[in-house]
Formats: sequence, structure tokens, C-alpha cells
Amino acid sequence: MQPDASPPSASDFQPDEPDRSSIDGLFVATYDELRRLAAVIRQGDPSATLTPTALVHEAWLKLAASRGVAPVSKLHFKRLAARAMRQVLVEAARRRKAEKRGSDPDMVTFDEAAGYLTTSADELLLLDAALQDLARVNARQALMVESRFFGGLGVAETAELLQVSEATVLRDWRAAKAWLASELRMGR
Amino acid sequence: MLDRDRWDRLQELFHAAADRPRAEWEAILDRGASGDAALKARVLAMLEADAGNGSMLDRGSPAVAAGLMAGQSAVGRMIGPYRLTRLLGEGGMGVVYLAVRDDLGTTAAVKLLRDAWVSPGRRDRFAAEQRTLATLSHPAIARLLDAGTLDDGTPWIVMEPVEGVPITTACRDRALGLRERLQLFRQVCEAVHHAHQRLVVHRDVKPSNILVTTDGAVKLLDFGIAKSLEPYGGGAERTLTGLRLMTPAYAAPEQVRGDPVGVFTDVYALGVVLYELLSGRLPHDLSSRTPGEVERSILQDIPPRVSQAARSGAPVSATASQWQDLDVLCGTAMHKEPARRYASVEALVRDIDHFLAREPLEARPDSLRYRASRFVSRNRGPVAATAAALALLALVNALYLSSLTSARDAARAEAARAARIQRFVTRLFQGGEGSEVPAESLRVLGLVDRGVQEARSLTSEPRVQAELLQTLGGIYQKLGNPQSLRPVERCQSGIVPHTGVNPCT
Repeated sequence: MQPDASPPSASDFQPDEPDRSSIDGLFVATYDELRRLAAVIRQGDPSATLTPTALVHEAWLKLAASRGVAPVSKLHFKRLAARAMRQVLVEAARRRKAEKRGSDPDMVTFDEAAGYLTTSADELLLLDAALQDLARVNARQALMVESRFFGGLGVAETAELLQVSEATVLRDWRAAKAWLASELRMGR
Repeated sequence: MLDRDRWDRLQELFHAAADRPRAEWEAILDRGASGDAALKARVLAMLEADAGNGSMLDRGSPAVAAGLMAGQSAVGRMIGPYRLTRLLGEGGMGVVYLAVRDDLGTTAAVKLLRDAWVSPGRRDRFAAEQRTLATLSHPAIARLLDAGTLDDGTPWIVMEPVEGVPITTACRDRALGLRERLQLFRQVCEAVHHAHQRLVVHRDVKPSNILVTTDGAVKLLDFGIAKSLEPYGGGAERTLTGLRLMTPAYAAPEQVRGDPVGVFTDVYALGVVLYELLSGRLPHDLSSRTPGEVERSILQDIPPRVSQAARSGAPVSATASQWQDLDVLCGTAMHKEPARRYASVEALVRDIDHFLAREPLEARPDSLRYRASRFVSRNRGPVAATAAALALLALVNALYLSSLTSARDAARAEAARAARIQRFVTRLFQGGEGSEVPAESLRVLGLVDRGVQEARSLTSEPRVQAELLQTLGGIYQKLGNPQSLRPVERCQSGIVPHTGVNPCT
């Protein structure tokens, strides 16, 4: 299945947000901040450790301090940042695949890490596509996966964000995760 | 194809079996799937995945991200007819490689816009960049040679390769003097002006985009975020560019605010570059600041005059009066308010030429009135002021009076008057320097009160007195306290009384 060429954008959000344009602005700022942070890691700075949760937190600190940020709660910011993080990773995965295709076969050396990385890229793109499918049948569950997996939201935060009980989060998450994992397994 | 009903059934069956022993799964699914083999198979796959806990979702995004973000390079790969040979740099919009064209043996700089397929907005900007660059042909602007798109949709552009170093480095390494720096800078201005005439604003003028080649020629790079002033596409994107695509040290206030940018934005950035070339420093020290502080600094802080910044270890030497002119030059180009900057790069070039020809500049420093009103609008409410300011105030007055009484030349007094008054107020508000400042603080109103008292003592010079009262009265008015001036002073200061008879008549 070929995923939609255009990635998720801020406009995928349900209209329960404070202000359309300020959210768009915040999304863009978040996305860029995450990209910037990711680029630092890409350049191989050994002191940089990449956990999306930490990146999201750092992005929040930076953006919350800046005047241009829309007045949203930290929770809503995390939701936004989760989407931005998804986009950053999908972008990285596509790039990784593109580079693999374009490289001169003579120059490819076998490398276990590279094999794993390519798998990651493929898997991530499959996951992204599967999440889009899931969003069509149950937007809440797709948002849940996005927030938890890409944004590092905990069960309690997710429950608060989606306005459901923690038990519901656990139940929905488990089913969604199982379905997505099976989707990945079949797609491979 | 997954639909809502299918998804509900999948979940229902999954939950029915998930907490049961594996041995019971078959039976549960046989009952629940009622002959739908595909449904049963799928739920089984879900149950296996759930039990296995081995998917990417269980590994967590950190592991995935670490793998995807690890170092990577496209060196060796073919882009159109070009073979990438070396990474030159990485910018906000893409990576730049040095490339060789195998058939012709020529070299070029290839820029890959890596995430063009992610955001359609970025794609638009890339297309705009190509259109923009193609219209520019100037010896000091790096030429666009070719452009295209990879199979996966990644766009690329090929530019004239430029071997050079940033203008700041070039000036330092060659130990260029004042005149040479200004002449080099003038070339930069001419290239930017050329672009402006074609309705292209660079928007990201900074030393790393201004290279000086080994033979001393200037080349402007990376119209990456330049956008034609002609309307095309854009829309909401336009309002966002200020937020995202800027280099803070050279960003104009309107870019920080997300306001429309224009020719005046490049004028500002050129002013910052000039400031840096003359003083070896940036106007705003933005290192180790949070984005919020950076923004505040760009929007509000009046940077030290370039002559002040140059005081410790200036890379160029100039006379006091030259520094005065350079202060005006940089100050005008870098004015917080676009309307108060040079109206065009051409106007900036004209003043550089005036300077080089030892002629008077066209630009004028901000008037006292303007600066006082700016000060008040920035500092409503209590401000920290200092006893040193008051001491200076008294000193300035004393100097002023003594020089006035001894001055026979009325013209000279007149010229001195403006400067003195200006110093009177700026010193009043600026306070002393650093550690010399006592810890005492005053409300701005108290400070102005004190200024009025001082001004009242200037009875021997009614014109100066009137001008001071005018300024101070304007401050009172902004502070909502015009009653602090006596009626006759309100008249002198040009404030029309709200009620009653005009005492001036």
C-alpha cells in the first residue's frame, strides 16, 4: 500500500483547538525545533542522546519561552509535538530509503547496523501508513498511538488528553498496538 | 480494507481472547468469527503480536529514531548528470554537496532539498527559489545552473560553485582597513540591490551567505528563503516564515514578529553585517539566551553604537568624527522601525559613498524628541534610574551654561544646543556604566520631575528651556500626568491644555 505522499499536518487536528492559525504556527515552530534537534544528533554529536520524549520536552521549554507561541497547555503542546515528531521521523525514513536506492551498489558495504536501519525506515513508513488507516476508522485510537509512541505521553496524560479513563486508554492502546504490529509483520 | 465495523469486530474478538490462555484462542475465535477466516487469521496475528511484544511499537520511538537519525551521506551518488563528491554544508532547507559533471568535467554545487515531499509549503518555496534565482544574473550572485527532482520527489538545484570564505573571515584574514571593508561591503549592497530591482528580497543576508573568493570578489549565496515580492502561492506560509526561517543575529524585528518583510529587512541585515565588519562584534549578544530573550533583545534592546562596540579591539581605525558617521550609518540601517531605515539599499550605498568621499551623510540621527518618546513607550511604569544619571545631569547643565555664557558665536551655540539637549535627556535616562551605577532606583516620573526642575533653572536660555520642557512635557503626557507642568510650561511645551483658557494667549 502506497501511503499518501503528503504527511500528516497540523490541519489533521480535530477542531477542538483554541485558535487555528496560532496552532499552525506552533506546529511549524515545534516541527522545526525538533528537526533542528534531530539534526544535531544526525551530525553525530556523541554527547547528544536522542529520546523523542526529551526532544519534545526541550522543544517545549524553548518554545514556551518564546513570545510567538500560542497559548496552549503543555498537554496540547505534547500532542502537537507528537505529530511533529512523527513527521520528522517519517521524513528521516524516506530520506534513508531514498539514499539507499540512489547509492552506487559498488559502494555499499554490508553492515549489520545498516540492515537494521533500513528495516527501521521501512517499518516506520509502514507504521505511518497503518496509522493513517487506523485514523480513518478510529481517530481517537490513532491519536492515542501517535501521542504515546511519538510524543512519549504516559497513560494518565493520554487519558486526560482524550478525556477517557485510564482503563480505556490501556484497552484501546493494547488493541491498536496489536493490530499495528500485525500490520507491520505482514507488510515486511 | 479496514472499515469501522471490521475494526470493531477485530477489537471485540481480540479483547475476548487476549487475556485467555493461548490454548483457548482457536476456540474463542471460531465461535466469534462465525466462519470469517480472514477475520480469524487477523485476530490471531494481533494476539501473537500482543503476546510477542516485539514490534517497533514495543521497542519505542527512541530506538527507532536513533537508527534513523544516525549519520548518513549521499556522497558518491548521481544527481542528474552530477556526481556528488563532497559535503559542503547543511542549511535549514537542505544539504549542499560539491559535485562533478562527469561528461564535461565541470564542478558545481548541488543542493538537495531533503524534505521537500514532507511539506507542500516547502516545495512551493523551493520552486520559488528556482524561479527567483533564474532571474538573477549578477557577478556577485551565485548563478543557478540547473534544477530537477529525484525519483522520490526530492528536488535539487545546481549552483555555480563558489570557493570562498565568509566576508567576516575574509576581512579579518586579510586585515582589511576601514576603506577596503566599506568597498567590499558596497559590492554586497550592489548585489542585494540588483535582486531588489527584480523584486527579490534575500531575507537571510548574513556573513555565511556572503563569500569572498580568493581573488577578492564577493558572491552572495543561498537565496534559499528569498521570495519574490510578486504574489504567488504562499498564503498562510508567508506569515510563518518569520517564525521559522531566520538567523536570529541578523534577523530584523519584523521577522521576529512575523510581520511582512521587504527591502527594508535586507537593509537591516546589511546594517548588522556592516556593524560586525566595523566592530568585530554583533549588535546583540545572543549567545546563551533563550529564544524568548533573543526575541526581546531584537525587538527592544537598543544595541551599543558601533563606535562603542568597537572600543575594545576594533578591527579598523577611524577618527572620532568618522565613528560618528559610522554610528549614524549603522544605526539608520539597523533601525528597529523599518520606516526609519534607509529607504533602499541604494540609499545606504549613497551614504557609504558620501562617507568614502568625506561628504556629509544623508541620514540623520534620531531626534531627541523621537528618542525620548521611544524611551517612554518602552519603559512605562517604574524604571531603574541612577544617582549617576542625576549627577551627570547636573554636570551637563553646568557645562552647558558655562559654555553658553562664554560662547560669542551664536551659530556655534545653536549647533551645540541640539547636541546638548540630546545628551541632557539621553544621559538622564541611560544612567552610568556598569559597576559605577549605584543601587538606587527611581520611578521614571521622579526622574522627569527632576529634569523639569533642572530645566526651570535654565531661565537664561528660553529656547533651550522651551525645548527641554517640550520633551519632558511629552513624557508627562505619555505617562498620563500632564498636570505636573505649570500651565505656562504646558503652553511652552506645546501641550494644549484640555480645559480652560489658553495661558499662552
